[in-house]
Parts: sequence; structure tokens; C-alpha cells
Amino acid sequence: MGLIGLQLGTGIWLFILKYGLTPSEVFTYFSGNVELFIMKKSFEGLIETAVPHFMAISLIIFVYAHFLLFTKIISPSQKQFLIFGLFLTASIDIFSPFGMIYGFEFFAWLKVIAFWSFEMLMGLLLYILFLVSLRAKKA
Amino acid sequence: MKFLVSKSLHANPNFILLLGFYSFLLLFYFVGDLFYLGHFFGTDTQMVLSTLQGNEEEFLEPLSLMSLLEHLHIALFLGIMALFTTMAIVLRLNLTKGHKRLIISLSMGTLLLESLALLATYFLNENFVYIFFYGTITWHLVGVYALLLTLKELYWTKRDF
Repeated sequence: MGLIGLQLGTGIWLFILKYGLTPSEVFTYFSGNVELFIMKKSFEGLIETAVPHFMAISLIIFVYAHFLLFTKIISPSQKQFLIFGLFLTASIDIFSPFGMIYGFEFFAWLKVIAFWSFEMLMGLLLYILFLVSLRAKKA
Repeated sequence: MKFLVSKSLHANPNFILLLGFYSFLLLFYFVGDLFYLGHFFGTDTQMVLSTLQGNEEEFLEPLSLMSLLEHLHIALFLGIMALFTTMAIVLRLNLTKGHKRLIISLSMGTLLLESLALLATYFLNENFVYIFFYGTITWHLVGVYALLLTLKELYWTKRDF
């Protein structure tokens, strides 16, 4: 869990360094800005980042969320919400840049909201698994 | 935690095939990654420090924070997945509990330590480079050792079927 926490931490740090914190900064990064000499990102360039993330994030969610199946700390419907939320926010986060390069600023808001939601849900998942491991140790 | 569907590694021939190929190919990851890291950072602690901090005499620019984070982000994911899956197999090997505990804690512990040490070398003190350098070598070698034990048990141990 420490390792995946570090992995998430570097992801957050990279997001802030590369894209910025606000939707307008994120939109500028992807759609470009002539005055700031920022080039618009290409479709092929986005694919290069998106494809490994599809595999990696799906695998990470699968590996960690499947532990929920063995726990009773949250209800089945809460587990479903968490798993669904993780996959949905990750998908929106990965797909959003494709909308931005065609000029739709709305996708910048989607990306920022989806990214931070994903990070919080992953944090919640890791916290639940940590509680479960503590209870297992006490038992 | 049941990553492998069966407790017995010799459960069926296809399982042996799957684990055998996986272990063999992952050996290339653990060994190849050492070559990659040697090329990216350097093959001794001084070269690693030159890569991270730059070197005026050799006209080397310091590694940017973005490049460092990107490397760490990708390397951590690959390391976690490689070790996690390898250790899931180790849990099913015919070894003593202490032996398994040593392999798992040493490999995953040094992966975590060396990742933190890399950041500490960059931001805090260059003496952390020794933890990064030797920690990296340690978890890669432990991974190779675990996979060799797996291959030995798959192909050189009496089979039940």
C-alpha cells in the first residue's frame, strides 16, 4: 500500500507540474496557446499517454479493488459504488484530453474533476484495505 | 489473497505452461531493467549523482524534476506489478514460511526504500544515493532469485498429475 501510495503521489505531483491546478491551465496545456508558445497536443501524442494508462490504471484498480470482495467492512452496494466510481473517473480522466484538443473547454473541467475524484476514491480504497489489514492482524 | 487459482503449481499442464513462460519472460524484465537503469542513471553511485545533480566538468545538465517524476512514476508501476505477481507465485512455492517472508519483505521493502531514497537524493542529501543504488540492485536480484526458484519448482520437482 505504501508503494501504490507513492505511485499515486508521483502521479499527482506530475499532474500539477505538467498541467497545473485550474481547468484553464489544463485546457491551455492540451489545446495550446500561441501567445505563450505552447503547442497544441496531437492526437497521436495523446494516444501515446492514454494507451499505457488504460492498461495500467485498469490493472491497478483490478488488483486492489478485488480485495474488497474478501471484506465485510463496507456493504456490497458501497463496494459497487467504489469500483464503478474508480473505473468511471479513470475513464473520463483518460478520455478528456481528446475533447480539449478539438477546442472544447468543458473537457478541462471534466478532467480536473475526474482526476481528483479518482485520486480520492483510490485513497479511500487504500484506507479501507488498511483498516481491513489492521482488523485481520488484531483477529 | 488468491491470485493463483490453485494452491498447487502443478495443478495442470496449462498452469505450468502459463507460470513457466511468465516466470521466464519476467526474468528478462528484472535483468533488462538493471541494464536500462545503468544506462539511464549510471553504473556507480558517482554517475548516479552526476545524472541527478549535473556535472559542470562533463557539461551534464541536472535531471529535471519532471523527468525524475516520470521515471519514478513508470518504474514504480512496473516494479509493483512485477514484484506483486512474482510474490503471489512465491506464496505458493514449497518453501518455509520464513524463507517466503524474507523474499517478500526484502524485495518489496527495498523497492519502497530505493524509490524514497531517489527522491531524498534529489531533494535532501546525496548520501541517500547509496540506498537507491544498492536497494535497486537488491530487489532486482531478489526478483530473479524468486523466479529461478519458481522455474526450479515447476520443472525440476516431482509432479502430482
